[in-house]
Amino acid sequence: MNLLPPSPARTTTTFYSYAEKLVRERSPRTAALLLGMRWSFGLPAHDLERLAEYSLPLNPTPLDRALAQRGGLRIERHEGDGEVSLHDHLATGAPAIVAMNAYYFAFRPAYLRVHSSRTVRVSRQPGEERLRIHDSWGPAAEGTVTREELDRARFSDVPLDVNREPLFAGNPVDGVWFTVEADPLSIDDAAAWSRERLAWLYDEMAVPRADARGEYGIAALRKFRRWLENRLAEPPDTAASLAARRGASLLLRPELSSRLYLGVFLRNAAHLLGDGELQAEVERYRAGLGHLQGVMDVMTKTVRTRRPEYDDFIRIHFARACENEERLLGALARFAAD
Amino acid sequence: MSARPVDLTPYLNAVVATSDGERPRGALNAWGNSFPAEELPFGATLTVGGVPFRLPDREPGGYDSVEPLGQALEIPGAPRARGIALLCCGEMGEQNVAVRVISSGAAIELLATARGAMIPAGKPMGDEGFACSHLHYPGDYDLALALPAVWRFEHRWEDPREVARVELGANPLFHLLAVSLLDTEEP
Repeated sequence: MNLLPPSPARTTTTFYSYAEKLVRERSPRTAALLLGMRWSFGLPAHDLERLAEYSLPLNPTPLDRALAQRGGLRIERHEGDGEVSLHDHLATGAPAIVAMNAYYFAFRPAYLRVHSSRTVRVSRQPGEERLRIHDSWGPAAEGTVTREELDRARFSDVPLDVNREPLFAGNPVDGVWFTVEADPLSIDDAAAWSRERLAWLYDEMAVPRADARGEYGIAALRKFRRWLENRLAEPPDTAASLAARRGASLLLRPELSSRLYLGVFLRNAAHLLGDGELQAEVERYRAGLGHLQGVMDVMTKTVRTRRPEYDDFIRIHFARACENEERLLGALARFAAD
Repeated sequence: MSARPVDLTPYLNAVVATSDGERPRGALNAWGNSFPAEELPFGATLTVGGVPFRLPDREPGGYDSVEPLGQALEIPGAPRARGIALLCCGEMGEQNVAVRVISSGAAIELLATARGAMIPAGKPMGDEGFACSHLHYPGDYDLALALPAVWRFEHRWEDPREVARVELGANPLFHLLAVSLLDTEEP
């Protein structure tokens, strides 16, 4: 039996993708690293189908606070135009990451055909009335819209039709938008800085935690694996099974995104520590993320087409994805705080 | 180049191409996209990078391709060959699948790679693949922004060997449209 991942890991959510690009404008060499100082695994207490394409991974210390503390990255999430208006923000010339329904953008293939929500990069040039949209979703496209057109896409019901959009519909967009900023990273003692963060990451994954939002860490991952195996054992064509498949796929997307950046941080930490053993473990971990990529993609496939062999593939590769996480946990144990 | 096609008919299990009017059947990805069937020569030969591939016959409402799920492709007559080529594409980007070429009890093991099934319009393909002019959507429309593409994967070995069977690993995201044995000598 082939033990290799079915493909390289590569998928990031649109939020992570734009966040990296925005941070890179200020801090080009460290953008990916700053997004990677989170490990854990977050299992939400709420229905997984409520997750959006741009949902952030759930973390015991909320992701924005964790990344600010560990690397100085500042993520601000806004809902609607209450405290701060998106349009006031754009008028300053600064860009924003904006959730929208692509159904309302005339330059997209989905225009008036498919309701599908994700984020885009929005900016406004001085003296221009129309807003510039950069949408990296394949096929990548750029276009301009009026303020009214953007707001129509920002406040949308996004009705679900799984035949046309299996994942990213069914939840209203509700005007969510983000700003992301970072200052250039300044480190005095690179080895001490790395060790401290490795200890935090180890703690975040190793120690079981729970609160009103959900459960966290390797224990939550093990629990999710049991849940998934039970769902896969049920009749595949029921509404409950379809919901579980959609929910699992939506949950894994931000978790994989976070781990791709975690790999960049770990690689840098191993380099700063001059730790060859850690470096080898990190490369093994990064390659092993391909199992998670395959699980996520085949899980999404089963929303439309279900076969017993697909579920076997999910079981086998999710087991390997979990082994990959457990192996890294073992490798990082020596960095645990006293 | 002498090449012998492997008949995939008994193993067809998926739909990657649709005719106008049947676009909702497409399963090139979870979004229901598909190749325009009229641009792929089903039942005839498509040459990619100098390698002739015979695409399977395509019946209305039937399957047109193979998703590797552990099948063993039997090769009648076990011809001697010096290589194998796949016409394939990857769902959601590049995909790999393990392939075992069985020859007189011995096996050649390789990892076949299929490049992604979608390319941006206008991107040059070289002689590595073949792209169609438009992409079918399940809502019964088509657009020419992202184009569906198939790619040639090739693996060669030094001495001719009798190829009796080709065993595929499992990767539902790997789409196989044709297989050819290369530099063949009939026994």
